[in-house]
Amino acid sequence: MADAIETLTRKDFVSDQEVRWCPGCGDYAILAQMQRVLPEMGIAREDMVFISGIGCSSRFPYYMNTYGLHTIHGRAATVATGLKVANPDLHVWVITGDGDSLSIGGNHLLHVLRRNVDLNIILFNNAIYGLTKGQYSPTSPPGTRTYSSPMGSVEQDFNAISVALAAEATFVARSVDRNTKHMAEILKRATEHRGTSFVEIYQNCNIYNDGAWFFATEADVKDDQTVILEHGQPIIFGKDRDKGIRVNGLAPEVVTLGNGVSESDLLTHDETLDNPAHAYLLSRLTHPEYPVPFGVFRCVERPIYEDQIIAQGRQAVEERGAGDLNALYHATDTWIVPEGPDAETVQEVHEELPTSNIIPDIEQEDPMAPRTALQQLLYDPISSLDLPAPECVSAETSVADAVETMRSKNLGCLLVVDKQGLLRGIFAQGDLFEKVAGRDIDLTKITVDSLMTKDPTALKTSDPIGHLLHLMSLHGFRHIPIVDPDGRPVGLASFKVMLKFTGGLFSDDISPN
Amino acid sequence: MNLNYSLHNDTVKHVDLSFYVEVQKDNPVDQVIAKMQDSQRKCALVMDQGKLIGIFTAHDIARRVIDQSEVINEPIETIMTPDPLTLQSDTTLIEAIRFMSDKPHRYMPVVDADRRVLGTLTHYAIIKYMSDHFPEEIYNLPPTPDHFASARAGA
Ligand SMILES: Cc1ncc(C[n+]2csc(CCOP(=O)(O)OP(=O)(O)O)c2C)c(N)n1
Ligand code: SF4
Ligand SMILES: [Mg+2]
Repeated sequence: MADAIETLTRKDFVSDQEVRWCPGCGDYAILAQMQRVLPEMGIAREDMVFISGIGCSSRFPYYMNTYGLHTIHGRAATVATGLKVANPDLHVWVITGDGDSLSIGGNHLLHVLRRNVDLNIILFNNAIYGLTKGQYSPTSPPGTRTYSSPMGSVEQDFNAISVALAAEATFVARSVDRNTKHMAEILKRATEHRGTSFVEIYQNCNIYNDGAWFFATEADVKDDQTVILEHGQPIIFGKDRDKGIRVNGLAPEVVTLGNGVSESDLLTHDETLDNPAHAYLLSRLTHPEYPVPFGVFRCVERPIYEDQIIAQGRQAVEERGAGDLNALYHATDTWIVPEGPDAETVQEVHEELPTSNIIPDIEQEDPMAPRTALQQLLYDPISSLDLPAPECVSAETSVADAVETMRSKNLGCLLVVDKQGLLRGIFAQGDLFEKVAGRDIDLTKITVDSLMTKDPTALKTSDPIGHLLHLMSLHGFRHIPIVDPDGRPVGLASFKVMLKFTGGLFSDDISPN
Repeated sequence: MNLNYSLHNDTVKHVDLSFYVEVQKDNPVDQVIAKMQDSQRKCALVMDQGKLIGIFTAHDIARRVIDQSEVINEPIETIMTPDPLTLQSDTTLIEAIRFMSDKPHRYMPVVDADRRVLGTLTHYAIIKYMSDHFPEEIYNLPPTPDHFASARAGA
């Protein structure tokens, strides 16, 4: 096998697929550099996988004579994560565009970066959606005129390097399609890094966004408008290498060497700093105020996601034996949703899974602080409250009679019960306010069941007081019937009763804690 | 910060006093009721040239209007409760709770030192204020008390 690797050449990585990019597209340059670099990496072809999302750039895997997957828009990083966990020996590249990984796949990009899966992400940034014929993307600067922003985009753009740093990426670099030598170096470095490597490559879409990166590629301007980052070196740029970056407080500034400014005054690049602030500051050097940096912004070590996940899996198997997926499927609670409104939901009972010896440890920790006396009170049963007995009427009572009863007994609400004395409804002043007031209705002609709230929310005497307050404060129920286990009303809780109850709880002997 | 301390230090201004509408003394009763229904407020404060002169609530509707259609076109002034009790804005919440739980009033207008109306204190607003102190015990509950999981599903 080792012999075979040594003899690989660029040609071995060229597939038989017809390349479908527009002539002149920057994607070709990236493909060429990848095919140039890989033979030098000492990796067997069958151990390489290129995984892409959707876009022009995402057609890349077809053109590589390796394993590859053209997957779902924005989800290449996710598919790649699964693949690495299943087979950590593979070398996996994620090929993605600015639309693919920063629009629809933004979330997936963030999480793969912070997890530090051992992948190489190559983001082809052409600041446009190429495949769909030229809509602005999250890296198109405000004002960009495209087919979907004919008057200029009004959206703040993303800085891909800043995003990657904020997402805790361990390797962050930038290159550009037309600087092929630089790109080759960066691709090699990314391949060598253990952990997620994030490489942004400025790529020219000569059809829909031609010249987006010309400031960084045209010979006459690029030396003054870009800077190549070199680890351990002062940050110097310019055709005559006479300019540099100095840091003034938290702000970077461009200075000219000479006249009292020497190299030792300049910011020295250090890609290994644990604190990402330095790398972030460099990522904010943007055109045209500053020279735009190319090179490795950050390269630090952190534990690898799949190493840890796999180790945990091994440990679990050692402690508990190999699992049975089929048994797991059938061990959870499932139920059948019945047809028709009255049918009862059927819970399917399955054999219990053997209890785990890992999970109980977690459950034993009680995150709750000890309860205060007041908190405890909220768990006390409603029966400990001094509730008034409810006034009950039958469903056929006329509203006129009900109103008279409420008036003479000074009640805000009546409970409606059936012949067995079971709770059927609640009839309150609120119903009169909402459904009768201001309308010409003969109250002697209608019965309470036409106005009452049917099957009202009721609580049992054994339920906690906290739940009463839950219903009152979150749902605004002013009156809550309290019933016995059979459903017969035995009490009526109201705002007023709860106010009286709480008013009595507090002494005037107070302290803040 | 415990609730007892808060109730003794916060004043009625610290709870939601917005559960009311303002009407003018010559507004007819049916218009006042419509305004209350539209805004789902069960309390109307009756004003005369910017001064509070009366109060009219859903309780009054149930007791004095619902089966007496002849009052519907009268000005609200004739049926309101005149000169309602008010609370000063610097009343502590514990004072307000004790005051309101001793009296039949469900709605108490709150006024400043110049008797300008700042809002109306309601039973609901006080209960909400107190519940806010116990999110775990009151808010983070399952829909019904017996919905508690027998085993933890998440985390
Ligand atoms: C779910 C879904 N949404 C939208 C699209 C349409 N679409 C295809 S490619 C693309 C954006 C590609 O932009 P980018 O990732 O920058 O790739 P480029 O073509 O520029 O290389 C979009 C929005 C799609 N194919 N699938
Ligand atoms: S549309 Fe743009 S990005 Fe897509 S292949 Fe053509 S030139 Fe390249
Ligand atoms: Mg693009």
